[in-house]
Amino acid sequence: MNTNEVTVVANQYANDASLAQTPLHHAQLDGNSSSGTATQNAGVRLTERELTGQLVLRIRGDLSAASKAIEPVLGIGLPSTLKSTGNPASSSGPSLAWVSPDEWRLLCPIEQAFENEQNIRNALSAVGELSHAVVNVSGGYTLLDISGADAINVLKKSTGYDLRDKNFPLGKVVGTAFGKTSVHLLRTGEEKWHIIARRSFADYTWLWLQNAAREYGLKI
Amino acid sequence: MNTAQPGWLTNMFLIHCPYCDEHREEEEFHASGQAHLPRPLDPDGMSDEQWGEYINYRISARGAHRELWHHSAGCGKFFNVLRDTVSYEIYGTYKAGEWLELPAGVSEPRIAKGAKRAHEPSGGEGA
Amino acid sequence: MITDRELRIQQVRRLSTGGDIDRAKPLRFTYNGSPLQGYEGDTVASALLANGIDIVGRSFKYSRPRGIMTAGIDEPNAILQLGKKGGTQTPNVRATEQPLFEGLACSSVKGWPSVNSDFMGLVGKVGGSVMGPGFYYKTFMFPASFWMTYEAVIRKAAGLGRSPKEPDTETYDHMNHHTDVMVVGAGPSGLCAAMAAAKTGVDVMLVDNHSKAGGEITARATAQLIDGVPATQWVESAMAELKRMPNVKVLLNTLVNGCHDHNFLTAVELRQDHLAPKDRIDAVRQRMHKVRASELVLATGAHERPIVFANNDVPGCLTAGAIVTYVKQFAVAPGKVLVVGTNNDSGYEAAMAWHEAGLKVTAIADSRQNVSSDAHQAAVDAGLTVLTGSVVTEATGSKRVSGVYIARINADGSKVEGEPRSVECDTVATSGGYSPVVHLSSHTGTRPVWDEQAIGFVPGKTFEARHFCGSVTGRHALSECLAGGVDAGAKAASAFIAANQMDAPSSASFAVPTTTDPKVAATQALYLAPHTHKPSRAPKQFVDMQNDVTAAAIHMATQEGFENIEHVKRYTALGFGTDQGKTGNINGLAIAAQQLGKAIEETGTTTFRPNYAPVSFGAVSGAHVGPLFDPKRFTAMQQSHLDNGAEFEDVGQWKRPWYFPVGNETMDEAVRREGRATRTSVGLLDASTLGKIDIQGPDAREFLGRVYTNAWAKLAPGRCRYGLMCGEDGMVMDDGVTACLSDHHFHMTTTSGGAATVLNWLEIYHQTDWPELDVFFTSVTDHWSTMTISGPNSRKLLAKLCQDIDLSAESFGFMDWKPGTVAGVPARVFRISFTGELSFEINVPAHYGAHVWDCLLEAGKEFDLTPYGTETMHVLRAEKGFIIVGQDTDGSVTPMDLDHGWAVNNNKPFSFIGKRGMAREDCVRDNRKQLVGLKTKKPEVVLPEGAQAVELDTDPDDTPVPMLGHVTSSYYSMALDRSIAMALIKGGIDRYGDTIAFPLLDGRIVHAEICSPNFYDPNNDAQKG
Ligand SMILES: [Zn+2]
Repeated sequence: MNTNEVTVVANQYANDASLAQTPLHHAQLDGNSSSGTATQNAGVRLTERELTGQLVLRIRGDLSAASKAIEPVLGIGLPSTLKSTGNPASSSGPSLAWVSPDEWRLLCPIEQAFENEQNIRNALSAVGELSHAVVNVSGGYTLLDISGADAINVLKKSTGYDLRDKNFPLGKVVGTAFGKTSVHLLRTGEEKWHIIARRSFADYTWLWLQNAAREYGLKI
Repeated sequence: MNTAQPGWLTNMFLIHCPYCDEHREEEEFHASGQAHLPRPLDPDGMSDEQWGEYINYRISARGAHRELWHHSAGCGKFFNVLRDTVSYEIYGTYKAGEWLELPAGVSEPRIAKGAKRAHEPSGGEGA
Repeated sequence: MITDRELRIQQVRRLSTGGDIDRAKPLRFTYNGSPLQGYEGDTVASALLANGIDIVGRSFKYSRPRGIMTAGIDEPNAILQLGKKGGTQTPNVRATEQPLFEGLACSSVKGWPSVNSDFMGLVGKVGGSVMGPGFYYKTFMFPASFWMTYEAVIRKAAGLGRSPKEPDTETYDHMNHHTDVMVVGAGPSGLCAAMAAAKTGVDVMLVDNHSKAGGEITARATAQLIDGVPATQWVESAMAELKRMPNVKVLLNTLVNGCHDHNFLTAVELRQDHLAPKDRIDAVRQRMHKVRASELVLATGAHERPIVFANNDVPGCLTAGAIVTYVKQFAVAPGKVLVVGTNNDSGYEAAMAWHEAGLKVTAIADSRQNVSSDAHQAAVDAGLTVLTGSVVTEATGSKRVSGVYIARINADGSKVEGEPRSVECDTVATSGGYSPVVHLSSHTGTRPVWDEQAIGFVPGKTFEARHFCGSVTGRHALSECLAGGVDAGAKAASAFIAANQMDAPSSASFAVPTTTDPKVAATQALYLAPHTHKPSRAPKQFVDMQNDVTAAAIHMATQEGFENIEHVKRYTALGFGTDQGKTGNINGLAIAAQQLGKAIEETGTTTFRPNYAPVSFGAVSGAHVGPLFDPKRFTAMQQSHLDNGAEFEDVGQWKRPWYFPVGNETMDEAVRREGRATRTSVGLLDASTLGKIDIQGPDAREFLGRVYTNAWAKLAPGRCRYGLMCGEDGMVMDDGVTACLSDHHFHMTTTSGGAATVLNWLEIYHQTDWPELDVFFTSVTDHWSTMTISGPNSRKLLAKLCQDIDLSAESFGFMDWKPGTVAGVPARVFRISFTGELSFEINVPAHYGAHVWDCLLEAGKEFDLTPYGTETMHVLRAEKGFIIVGQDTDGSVTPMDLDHGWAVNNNKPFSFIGKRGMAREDCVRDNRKQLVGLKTKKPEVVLPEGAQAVELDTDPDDTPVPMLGHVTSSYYSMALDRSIAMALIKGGIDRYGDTIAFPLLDGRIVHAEICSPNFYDPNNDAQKG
C-alpha cells in the first residue's frame, strides 16, 4: 500500500483460504442438512455462497463514459437503474448490480477483488470529470441463494416488494425491506433469487428464512 | 445499503422514489421532516432568534405539505414528497434540489407562525 | 358415555330436512361443559340454536340474558370463549362465525358465575340504576384510583373475555401481495366485478370472509334465477371459472379488516380455525395478507338492522335475515311460533321460510300503511296474517320471548294509534332495512354520506382508486348488484390498463348476468318502533346490545346538550363494543337525529377505524415473535464469546459481551478481574460494533471539517484524530476517532448506537445542502472486525502476531495507524486508546475476525490475556474521564460543557455544524451544567447513576430545593481502589475541590468532592507507552 496516493488501495485477501469464515459459517449450511415438515419434497432450497469479492463502486458524472471505461476491466458495463450485468447467478460472476444512481455492487472471485479494485480505479481515473470511489466490502455481507417452487412464497412473507414476473424479471435487483432488516434482492432464475444481507444481520436473516420456509420444507 | 427498521403494520403509503423510479412500500422509507430547509449560508451573521427559527420552527400544515423522505432500505437517496396531510394523497415526489408545482386546484396550506414557507430552491441556498 | 343418538335427540330445533349441513357427520362439542351435538356445516351459533340454547351471555351493564341475534359478523351477543385450557384458548369468538368442529369446547363469557343465574341480575339491577348513560365519565372520573377496581369488577361481571396467560402454542405469519384489481366480497356483485376485471387479463384478487362465496345468495339459499339457473348454482359455476383463471387469486375464510392509505389492505385468513386441534397441521393458524391493490373494488354488502322496540333484547329476538339463514342454510328453527316486524320486504322472506318449514307464523307487522309487492302478496297467498301500518312495540318474557304487543301506528311511524294487542309467539324477527357496510371505505378518513333513497350511509368520495358495487352502494336488488358488479370490475380494470399504458383487451368482456327481480315496495324509514310510553318510561329499548345503550340513554344524551354525534357516541358508548355497533349504529344515529329535530345527514355519522372486526394478537404479530421479534446483530467473533461464557448486553440491536465470568464469578468480580488484567498486563475487547464509515473524495477533508467541531485540514495520512459531532443546536450528538488513510480517504468511526444516525446525517447534508462536495460515504461497519488489545503488554502481544509493522513507540506513535499483517491476514492497526493504556485497535476484514481473535487469545496466554466486555470498558474509560455520548451527554450538552474546548476550532473558515448553535446566548452563559469528576467522601460508597446533586447547606424543607445536576456515570474503580463518578454539575468546572451532597432515595445523603474526571494517570503517560 502506498499512503502517498490520494486513496488507499490494499489487498485485503489473505492467501490462506482456510482463515476465512463466511457470515453463516457456524450454521453449517454447507452440508446436506434440512429442516421443516416436508424435506423429501422440499419446496425451498437455501444456500450461502462461498467467500466472494464484493466491491462498492461509487460514480458520479458521465456514467456512459464510466461504463465504457470499466468494460475492458470486467468484461461488463454498468447496469442501469434496478438492473444487473454479468452473471449474478454465480459468485465467480463477475456481476454488477445497480444499488443507487451513484452506486453499484461488484461480485467477483475473492482472489480478484484487489486486482479489480486497482484496475477499476485506474480506469475511472482516466475518465475526466468523474467522481468516483471504490470500497472493498467483501467481509460485510452474506450472499444467499434461495430457490425452489415455494421460494416465491417465502419471499412474499419477507418483503413487501412486488415480486410478480411483470415487475420483477430476471436480472432485476432491488434494495428493500426484509423481515425487520433490509436486503438487496436479485432475481437470478425462474424460481431463483439472490439475497445480499448485512453480515451482522446474517443470523437473523437465516432464522427468518428458515422459519418462513418451514411449511414448505427446506433443503440446504 | 443502510439498515432499515421497517414497521410492519403502520406503514401504508405507496411512495414513488424518483431515483429508483418505482413505487415502493412505505416500510422502505423514513420520513425526515419538512423539506426545503436550506442551511443558511452565513450562520454566524444571524441573530439567535433567526437561528432558532431555522433549527426549530416548522410548518404544521393542514393540506398540501412538502416533506423530505429517505429511501433508507432502497437506494439511500433523500427526496421530496408533496402530499396532503389530511387525505394523505401524494401529489408527487421529486428529487432533492428540484421543485414540483402544486396541482391545479390545490392551494398552499396555512402555516404556523414563524415557520418559513417552502419555496423553490434559487440555486444559491442549497436545496 | 352419552351416545350420538342421545345427543341427537337434544337437537330439538333441528329441522328434519334441508340445510347445507351433513347429517351423516355429527360433531360433538361442549358448551359450558355440557356435551352437545351439531353437524358438519354448522357454526357454533347454529348448533347452539339447534340444541335450544337460548341464552349465550349476560349484558354489560344490566346483566340481562342475551341470545343469538344474527347469523354473521355483526353478532353483538354470542361472544364466546373457545378452547378448554391454557394457551389454546381464544377469547371473544363470535359463535356465528366459528365453524363447528369435533371436540370444540366453548363457554359463555358474559355472566358470572353463570349466564342462567339470577345472582348477577340482582347486582345488575343495582348497577342499572347506578350505571346510567355517561357512567364512564360521571361515575368513574373521580377518584381515578377507583377506576381500576370498578373496571376489574365490571369486566369480570360483564365477561369481556378472558385473555389466556400462557403463551400461544400456534404460529402466525404475514404475506404480502400486489394485485392490479382487488375485489372485497364474493357476493353476487363481487363475483361479477372479479369476473369482469379478470376477463381483461389484469391480475385480480377476490377475498371473502366466508368459507363459501355467494354472500347473501348462499346465506339465504336464494332461489331467484341468474342466467336461467338458480342463483346458488350460478355462484358455483362463477367461482369455478374464476379459480381456473391463472390471473385470479381467490382467498376465502379471509376477512379484510383494514383498508389503509393508497389501497393497502390487511386481511386475516383463518387457515386452521375450522379444524379440531388434533386435525391442525404444523403450520400457521392465521395469516395476515397485506395487499397493495392498484384498483380496489369494495363489494362489502350490507348489514340488516333490527327495529328497536321495548325488550328487544330478550332471547328469541333475531334479525329477519338471521331467521332465513338459520332455517335455510342450517335447517334450524330457533323457535316454534314467529312474529315478524318489518319496514321492508325482507321480513316476509323470514316469515315464508318459517312457514315453509312447517312452523307457525302468528303475524307479520309491517310498518308501512300500504304495501304492494311480490313478497307481501306471497305471504297473503300463503294465508299468513299481515298487519300493515303496525309495529311490534314490546316483547314480553325474560329468558325467552313469551309474546309481543303489536300496535297500529300513524303514517310517519312516530306514534302508536290505539291499544297495542298481545300476540302469542316465542320468536321475533325484525328487519329495519339494510345498512351498507361502509367501514372499509371510511378507514382512511372518508366520511360516508347519507343516501335518502337507500335509507343508509353509502361510501363518500375519495381520491383513492376505489370502486363500489352491490349492497354497499345502497342498491340491494339482485339485478342491480350483478350489473353494478360488472360495471365496477370493468371500470377498475380499464382504470388500471389506462394508468399503466397497457393495450386494452380486444375481445374481453363479461356480459351482465340476467335475472328478474321480484316487485318490491319501498322501505319505510323507521328505526325505533313507537311505544305507548316515551323511551324514558317504556321498558328498555336497546339500540346497542353490546354496550347496553338504550333509546332512553340517547335521549338523555341529547337532553344533556350533546348535539354532535361523536359526543353522543362517547357519552353513551354507542358502538364502542367489539362489534363496533354493526347492528346498532344507524338506529342510534337516527334516534339522536330525531330527538334533535335534525335530519340524519345533518347530525352526520361517526367514523370507522380499522379493524372492521377483532383480530387476534397472533395475526397482528405474525412471525415477529420470540427470536424473530427484533433482529439480533452479532459480530464475527460471536462463537468465541459464547465459548468463553460471555454474558451479553444489548447495545441497540447488537449483542455485545458484557462481561466474561469465570466459574461462579459475579459481574462485579468479573469486572474487577478484567480491569485489573488490562491495567497490569493486557485485555482484549471486541469493538466490532463501532460504526465505521469509509469516506473518499477530494472534498472528504472539507466535509469532515464541516461536520466535526475540530479541524481536519492538516491531519496527515497515517494519523488519527478524535472528533465531536454536534447538531445545529450545538449539542453533542456523537463522537469517535477518524483516521486519515490518505489525502482523499478517511476511515471514520462512530459510536455503536450512532452508526446509522451519523451516516444518515452525513448523507442528508451531502444530498440536500452540499451536493457540490465531491465525496462518497460507505458504511463498512460490517466489513471490518475490530478488536482492541489494551494494557502494558499489548505491544509485546501484537509483536508475536505482526512482523511487518515497526511497533516501537518512535515509529508507531500514539494516534498513528498503520497497515500490516496480523495473524497472517491484512489489517489496519490504529494506536488509539479508550482505556488510557497502551492500546492497539486491530481491524481486519470480518471474515478473518474469528481467526485473528482466536490467534490473539492463543498468543496472549503467556500474558494472561483477558477478554473483557462493555462493563469493564465503561469502568476503564471512566477512570480516564472519557465520555460516552448518550450516557454522559443527553442532547443538552455542548463540547464546552464537557470541558472539551480543545476539540472545538472556531477559526475554521466554514461555519461548522454546531458552531452557531453553541454560540447562542444560553450556551455561553455562566452556570451551565458541566461534566466533572466526583470522589465520594467515603471511598467505598458508589453513587447511583442519576443521583441528584444539591449544595451541602441546602435546607430540605425549603422547597423546591435548588438542584445542581446529576450523576451520569458511576463505578467502583479497581485502579484507584475507590468509587469514582462523572456528573453534570452547574458551573462545575470552576468548582474543583468543592464538596456537594447527593440525597438518595433510601434517605442517605452522600457527600462528594468535585474533581477532574481524569482520575487515573492524569498525565496520560500510560497510553503514550
Ligand atoms: Zn430509491
